[in-house]
Amino acid sequence: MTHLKVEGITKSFDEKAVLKGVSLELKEGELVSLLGVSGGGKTTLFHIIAGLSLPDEGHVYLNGEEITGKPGSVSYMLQKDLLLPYRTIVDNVALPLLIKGMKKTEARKMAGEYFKLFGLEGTEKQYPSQLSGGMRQRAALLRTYLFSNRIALLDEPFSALDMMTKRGVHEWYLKVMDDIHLSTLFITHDIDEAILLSDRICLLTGSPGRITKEIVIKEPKPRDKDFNISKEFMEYKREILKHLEGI
Amino acid sequence: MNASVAIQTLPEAKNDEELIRIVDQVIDYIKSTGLNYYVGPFETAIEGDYDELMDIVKECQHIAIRAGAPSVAAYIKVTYGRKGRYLPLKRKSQSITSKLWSCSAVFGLLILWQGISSFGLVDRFLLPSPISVGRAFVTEFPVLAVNAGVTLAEAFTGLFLGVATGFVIAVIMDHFEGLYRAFYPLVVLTQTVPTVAIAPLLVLWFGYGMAPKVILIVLTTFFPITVGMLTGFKSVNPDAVNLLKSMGAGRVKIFRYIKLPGAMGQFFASLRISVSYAVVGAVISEWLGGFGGLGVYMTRVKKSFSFDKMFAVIFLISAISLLLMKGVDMLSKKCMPWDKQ
Repeated sequence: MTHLKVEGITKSFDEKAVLKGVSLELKEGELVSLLGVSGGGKTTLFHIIAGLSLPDEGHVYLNGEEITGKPGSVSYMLQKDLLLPYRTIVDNVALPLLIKGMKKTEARKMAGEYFKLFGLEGTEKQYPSQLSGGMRQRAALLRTYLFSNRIALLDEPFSALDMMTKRGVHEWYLKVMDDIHLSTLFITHDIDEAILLSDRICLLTGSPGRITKEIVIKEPKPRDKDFNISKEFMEYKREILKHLEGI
Repeated sequence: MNASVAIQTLPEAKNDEELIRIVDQVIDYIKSTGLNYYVGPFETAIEGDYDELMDIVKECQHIAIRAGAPSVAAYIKVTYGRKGRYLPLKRKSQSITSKLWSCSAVFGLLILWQGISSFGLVDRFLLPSPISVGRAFVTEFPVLAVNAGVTLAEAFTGLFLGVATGFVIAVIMDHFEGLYRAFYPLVVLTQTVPTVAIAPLLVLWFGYGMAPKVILIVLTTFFPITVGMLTGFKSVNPDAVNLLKSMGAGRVKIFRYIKLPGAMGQFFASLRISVSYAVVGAVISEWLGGFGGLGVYMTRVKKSFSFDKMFAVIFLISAISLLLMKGVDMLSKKCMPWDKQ
C-alpha cells in the first residue's frame, strides 16, 4: 500500500531551479533513501514534504489525502539533534506530544515507555549536554517517532557522528526499525549508509535535481551489520557509483 | 556526588603519537559522561557517584584496548565519603592563598585607614576611622534597618514593575516586527536621558510619596530586561523553530517551548544589572525628598555632618546591592539547572 506519494515537485529559488518534476512513493514500513550530492535539493524536497515550504508545482499526499504545505503530518529529523538544552531527555522526547495537546504527566509516561526500546533507559532525567552524540541521536529519533509513528523524514541524521559511533548507531537502527516498522524517507550522501539501511535508493542528481535512477536493495531484513563488507553490497555500490559518475 | 577518582591510563603504544591518540579517546569518553572532570598532564580526575565512577573506570580500559592498545595499565586513585564528608574537587584545588591575599589586602587597607585617622593625618570629622564607622553602624542599626526597609520596598516594587514592563515590551516587540522597527530606536533613545535628571520632574509631578521613586526605578530597570530578552528571542536556533513548526506548533507554542526558555540566560544576566539599578535608583530618588529610606537618611546625616553615619549607610547600601545580586545568581542557578556554569 502506498503511504506517502510525492508527485511532480518543482521548485525554484530566485529564478534558480532546484527541483524539477520529482516524484516518489513510500510504502508502509519501507525505508527509501534519497542519495545525492550536498546542495542537490534534497533538503528542499524534505521541507516541501514536511509542509514547511510550498512547491511551485506538484503535490504531496499522505494516504491519499493532500498535505501539500500543511505541516504537522509527517515527522522530521535533522542532522543536528536539536534537543533543547533546557529540557531533560524525557521532556525533549515528549515535546511533540505536548504540542499535540497532551497533558505533561501523560506525555512523560507515554514517552517513558519507549526508552528501553530505543536503548535510552536511565537517561530520562538527564540533560542533553550529559549525553554522547550517539545517544542524543537516539533521543532525537525517539522524538521523531513519537511525533508520528507513520512517516519519518530523516535528513542526514547520522552524518555528524564519527565512524565508529555511526557503525554502532547503524547496527542499533537496523534492529530498532525491525521492531517499530516506521516508514522512512532518508536523506544521505553516504552511499554505504544508503545501501545498508534502505529497501530502495532513489538517486537525486543534476541541477535542477531530479530522480534519475531507482535501485532496489533485495537483501532481506533485519540485515547483519557485516552486510556492508559482502560481495552483493559491493555490486550495489559499483552500480550507484557508475550512475553518479556517468552524469 | 560522593566520590572522585583520578585515573592515569598507560596503554602500550609504539610511539608518543600513538600513546596520545589512545589516551585522548579515553579522555573523550570521560568527557562524554557529562560528569565533572579535570584533565591534568598525568591523570584525569572525575567526580560523581561512586558506583557510576567505578563503571567509568572499568570502561576506560576497554576504550584503550578498542582504540588499538594491545595492553593497558592504569593507576587509579579514589576518594569516597559519606554525604557531606566528601571533599569536592573544586574545593580541593581552590587556592586558599589567593583568598588569603585578597583578605589581607582588605585588612591592610582598613589598618591604613585607621592609622590615617588615629594619627590625625586627615581631620577626624572628614574621614572617620573604621572603628567609629563600625560603632555608628551598630548604634544606628535600628534606624538604618527601618530606612533600609523603606528603600527595599521601593526598590522591589519598582523592580517588579520594571521587569514586568520590560518583559511585556520585549514580547510585544518580538511578536510585531513593525513595532520593533518603529519603537526599538525610541527605547534606546530613552536611555540617553540620565534618569537622575528627570527625577526632580517626577517629584514635582507625583510628590514626595512612593510613586515618583517607583516610576524612576521602573524607567531604569525595564531597559536592560527588554534589550536582554529581545536579544535572547532573536538568537533562537531557526532549525529548532522549523522542527517545532513541522510538528504543527503555532507561534504561541514556539514561544513557550523555544523562545522563552532560550532567553532565560539573557533574562538573568539583565536582572542582575536591573537589581543594582533598582537600589541605586531608590536611593537617588530619596535624596530629592521623601519621608523615609536610606537616601533620606543620607541627606539628614549630611546636614548634621555625621560622616561616620554617612560611611555606615554607604556600606549598607553596597552590601544590600551585593546580596541582591548574589540572590539573582542563586535564583538563576535554581531556575536553569541545565546551565553548568
